[in-house]
Amino acid sequence: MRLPRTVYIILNVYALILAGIMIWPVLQMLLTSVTSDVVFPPQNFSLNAFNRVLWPGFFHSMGVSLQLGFWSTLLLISICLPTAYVLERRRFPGRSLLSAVIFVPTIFPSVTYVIAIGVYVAIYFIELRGTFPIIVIATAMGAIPLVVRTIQGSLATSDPVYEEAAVVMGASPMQAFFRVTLPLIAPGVITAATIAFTFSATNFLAPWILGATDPPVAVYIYRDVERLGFTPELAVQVLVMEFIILGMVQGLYFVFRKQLRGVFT
Amino acid sequence: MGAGENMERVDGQLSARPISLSHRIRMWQQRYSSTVLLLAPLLLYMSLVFAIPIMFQVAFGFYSRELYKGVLWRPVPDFTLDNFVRVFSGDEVYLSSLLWTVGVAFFTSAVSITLSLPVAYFLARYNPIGRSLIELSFLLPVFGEIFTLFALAYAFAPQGPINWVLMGLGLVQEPIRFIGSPLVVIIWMSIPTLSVLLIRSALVGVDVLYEEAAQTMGANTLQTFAQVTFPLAKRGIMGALLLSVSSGVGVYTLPLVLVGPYNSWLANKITREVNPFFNYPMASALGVILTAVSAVFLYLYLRSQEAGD
Repeated sequence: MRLPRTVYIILNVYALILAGIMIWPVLQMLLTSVTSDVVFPPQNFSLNAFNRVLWPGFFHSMGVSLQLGFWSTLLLISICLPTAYVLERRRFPGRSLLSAVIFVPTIFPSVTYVIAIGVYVAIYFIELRGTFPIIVIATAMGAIPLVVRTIQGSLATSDPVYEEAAVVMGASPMQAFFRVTLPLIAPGVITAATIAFTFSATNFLAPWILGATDPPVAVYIYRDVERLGFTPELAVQVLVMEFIILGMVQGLYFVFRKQLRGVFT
Repeated sequence: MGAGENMERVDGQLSARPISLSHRIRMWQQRYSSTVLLLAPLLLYMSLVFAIPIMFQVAFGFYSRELYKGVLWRPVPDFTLDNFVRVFSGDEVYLSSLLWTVGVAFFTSAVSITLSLPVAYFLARYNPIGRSLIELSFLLPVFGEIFTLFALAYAFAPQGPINWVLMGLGLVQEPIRFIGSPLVVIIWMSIPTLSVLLIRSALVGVDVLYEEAAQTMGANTLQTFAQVTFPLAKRGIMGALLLSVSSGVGVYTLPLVLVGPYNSWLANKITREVNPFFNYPMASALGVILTAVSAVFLYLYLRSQEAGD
C-alpha cells in the first residue's frame, strides 16, 4: 500500500535506530577500552587499561576457551553431520519426531538442563565435577539445532544425483559420501563449524554453572566483575576475546577458501 | 532374498505365506541398519547428556535430603511432594520468583513485539535505505552474548551515555543506578531482535491485494493495518510472542551479570539452590517447574501454528 511520505521516512529512521541499537555494543566496547574511566562523554583518552590487564591469566583462559571451542566443534560436527544426512536423504519411521528432537535443546531453558547435568555429575561422578570433558559435552548441547539445520540446508540444495552416480559406478557408500557429497556440502559444513566454534568458545552458562576448575575466558572475565565491578580493563579483555575468536573464524575461512569459493561473493 | 520365496502355489493359485518374524527383522535390518548406525552418535549423546540427567532431575524433584556425616547434604530416595508444596505454598521466595519471571517475560515480549511490528511491516513491504544492514543487525545479538552484556553494563553505568542523555534532556536530576536494578534487564529484553525477522516472514505471507482492496475502499493506513493486515498475520505474530515468552522465562546470564547474583529470576534461584545451599532436590523441583512453564508456552505456540493448517 502507499504510505504518506512522512510516515515512510519515520519508519525508515525507526528501523535504522533499531539497527543502530544492535550495532552500538561494538562501538561502546571500543570507546570504553580506550578511556581511563567509564564516563560519558569521554574525557581522558588513554591506553592505560591495556597495560593494567593481567595478560598471562587472560591468555591462559583464552587458551582454555579455544580448546573448548575446538573439541566442542569436533564433537558437534561428528554428531550432527550424520544426523543431518539421514534427516535429509533417508525416509524412515519417526523422521518427523527426530527433527523435533533436534530442537529440544533450544526448547528447554538451557539453565535447567545444565543444572540437571551438574546435579547428575555431582551425585554419581563426583570426581568428574568441573573437569574439561564434562564442560565440553555440556556446552556442545546448545548448538545442536543450529549446526544440524545449517548442514541440512546445504544438503538440501546439493543434488543427490552425483552421489547416486558414484555408487552406480562402483563406489562404496562411504567413498561416495566422502569423495562426492562432502566436497559438495563443504561450505555448509564449514559455516556450521564456525557457528559451533563461536558458540562454544564464548559460552558462559555451561562452564559457569558446572563450576569449571580451569575456567574459559568468559567465566574468567565475569569473576572479575564479581570482585571489581565493570572496569575499562574488562572492556579490553572482552574486546580482545571477541577479536581472537573472530580471527580464528576468519582463519578457518582462509584455510578453506578453496572449498568456499563462490559462496560469499 | 526376494518376495517370491514367500509365495507358494496352492492348488494352482498364488497365496501369500505370512512373513516369518525373523525374516521381517532381516528385512528391517537391510533397510534401516545404516540409518540407525548414522543416527547412533546423536541418539547416544542426547540420551547420555540430556535424557538421563533430565529423568534424574524429575526423580530428584520428589526426593528429600539428609545430612551425611554432618558435612554433606545428599538426596535420599524418600518420595515426597514437599519441594513442590514449598514452591507453591507461597511462604518462601519461590512462588513470587516464578511469578516475577513469567510476568517479566510476558511484559517484555509484548513490548518487544509491539515495537517490532512497524519495522517488520516496513521490511516486508518496502525497500528502505540500509535494508541489508538493518536485516543483518537483528541477527547480531545471537553471536556474542557476553559482548552485548558488557556493552550494556558500560552504557548504563552511572556516568555512562544513557544517564548522560537522560540528564541532558532534564528528565532526571541525578544519575539512575541501572546496574544492580532489574530495570536494565527489562529494557534490554523489550528491545526487538529476532522477533522482527519472525514477524516479517509472517507479514510477507499476507497478500498485498487485500491491503490494496481496503485502501481502494477508503481505509486509511492505520485502519488497513489494524483491520486487514494484522488479523491476516495474527498467527505468525502470536507465534513470535509465544516463542519469545518461552525463551524469556529461561533467561539467566542477563540478570546474573547486570543485576547480580541475588536477583529474583527463577533460573538464578535454581543455581543458588545448587551452589551455596546444596539442596539438589529443591533445585531439581524448580528446574522441572521452569521447564514445564516454558513447555506450556511452546505447546501453545505449536497449537497456534497448527490451527490454521
